[in-house]
Amino acid sequence: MISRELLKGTLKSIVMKLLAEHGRMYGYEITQKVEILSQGKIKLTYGALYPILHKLEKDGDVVTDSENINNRIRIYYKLTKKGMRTAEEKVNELQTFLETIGSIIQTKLAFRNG
Amino acid sequence: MKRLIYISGLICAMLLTIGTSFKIEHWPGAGILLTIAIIFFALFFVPAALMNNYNQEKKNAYLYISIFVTLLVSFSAALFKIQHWPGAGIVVIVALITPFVIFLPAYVVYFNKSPNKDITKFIAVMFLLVFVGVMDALLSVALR
Amino acid sequence: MAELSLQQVDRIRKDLIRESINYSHLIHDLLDHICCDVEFEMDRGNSFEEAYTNIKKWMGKDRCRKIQEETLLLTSNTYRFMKTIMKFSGIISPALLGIAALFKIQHWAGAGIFMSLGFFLLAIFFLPSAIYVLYKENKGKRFFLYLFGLLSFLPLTAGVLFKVQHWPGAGLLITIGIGATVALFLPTLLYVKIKDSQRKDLNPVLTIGVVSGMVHILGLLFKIMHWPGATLMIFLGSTVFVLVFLPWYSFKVYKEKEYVTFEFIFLLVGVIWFILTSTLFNLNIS
Repeated sequence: MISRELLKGTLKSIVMKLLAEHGRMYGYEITQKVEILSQGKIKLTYGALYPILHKLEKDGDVVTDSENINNRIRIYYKLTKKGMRTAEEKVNELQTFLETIGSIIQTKLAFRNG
Repeated sequence: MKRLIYISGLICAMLLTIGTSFKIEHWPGAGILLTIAIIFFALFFVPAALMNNYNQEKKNAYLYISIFVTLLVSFSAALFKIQHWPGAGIVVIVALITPFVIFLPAYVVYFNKSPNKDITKFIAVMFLLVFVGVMDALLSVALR
Repeated sequence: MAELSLQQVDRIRKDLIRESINYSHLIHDLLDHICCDVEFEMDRGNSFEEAYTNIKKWMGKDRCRKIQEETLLLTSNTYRFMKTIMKFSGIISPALLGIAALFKIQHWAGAGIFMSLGFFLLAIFFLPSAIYVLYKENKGKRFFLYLFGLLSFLPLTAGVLFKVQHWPGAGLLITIGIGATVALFLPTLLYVKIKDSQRKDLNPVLTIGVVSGMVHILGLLFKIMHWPGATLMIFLGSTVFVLVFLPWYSFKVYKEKEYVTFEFIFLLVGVIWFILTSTLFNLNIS
């Protein structure tokens, strides 16, 4: 299980990347995808996901539409054009971040063993 | 046991109401009724009810203990004051301080430990404490 | 693939409505997500009741309220600001007022300063921010309940403290406080309790409880103002409340849980405290 603290800053980027790749998704679908792609190591909680989705909507990065599914209303999220651009930015940012951290960790370990 | 607790609580409330009516009308027997009602309430209903509730989940014993102590002291003070027993003054002062010195810290610890912290509820409890404290302050000032 | 029936979905929906989830389309998000999770649990062989109970246990108490709060914090800067002010003033002002009360009891000088400071914070900072936050978090009847609660409680406490300080206006504040309690807060409380309750048979019981409470509290006001009829009102109100409402209500509610609920303890302790306090008042003012 990966800790919530480590995840916090990256969740938004992860959600945006998924939306960029899969188009139109609903909340449950997003948590399922994340769980599968992370081989069960990351279980997105409601409390983590929905604030992010609503913030994205407020900022104009996603739009929502709804469908009546099985006695309830299902809300689908989709990236806007602006959202697509933001998604690209965020993912690149995350990529750079991971590479930077990666190289720091590598260097430190090498130093200890060497 | 649960039934006994419920019934005892109700009886205490009824005895108390009857007792206070007697007291206001200056009818005899008021004192006995009040004393029995309050003692029974503070020494049977409160601890039994709290214990019963605690046994449900067996968590946060300290909170229950702090509630019991606070209530015990407060009701004792009320009884002393109504019956004009000696020593009332000291008991009253202790009763005024206990909620803030014993209950409040326990509640703050409980709040910090709870997973979904509802700050609104916490503030409501704070205001309740203040209200009770203010009322008691007024009473002790007025009854002097 | 399990599929929930309309009744089952409605059951979950009602629980969410009871938690006052009303920001944007959050209730739909949560309802759908919870239903999916419950359906998943049912696929593992659980009944609907078991599945829903498991999901609720996993989520924890008041989880949806918390999610709504976090969503509000993230999306609205105003809300975040107001909530912070509410938190700080909501803790500091009662503390100041508590200290003021203590000083007064001990006859120490300076009670007035703490009291003025406490009330200043309360009126200027806490009241507006609390009203804003409460409005954002609960639209509709809940909001009015909290609003009226505040509008009753604050003038009442202010009036009592003014009385202790022999400041002018005490009587007016107390009258406003009690008036608001009887005319605004208690009726709304009754309305909310009836609407929230799943048991229709409780309605007459609750009504009697609230009405007798109103009569009692109004009687206290009459007593303070030296208006006629006070003693009768107090007597009637408290007798009906304790001898009619309390046993009837307890009898009805008794079976709901296997243990003594906190609600019952709180109710009984509150009643005892209230009777003791109003008796002491009564004895004193006559």
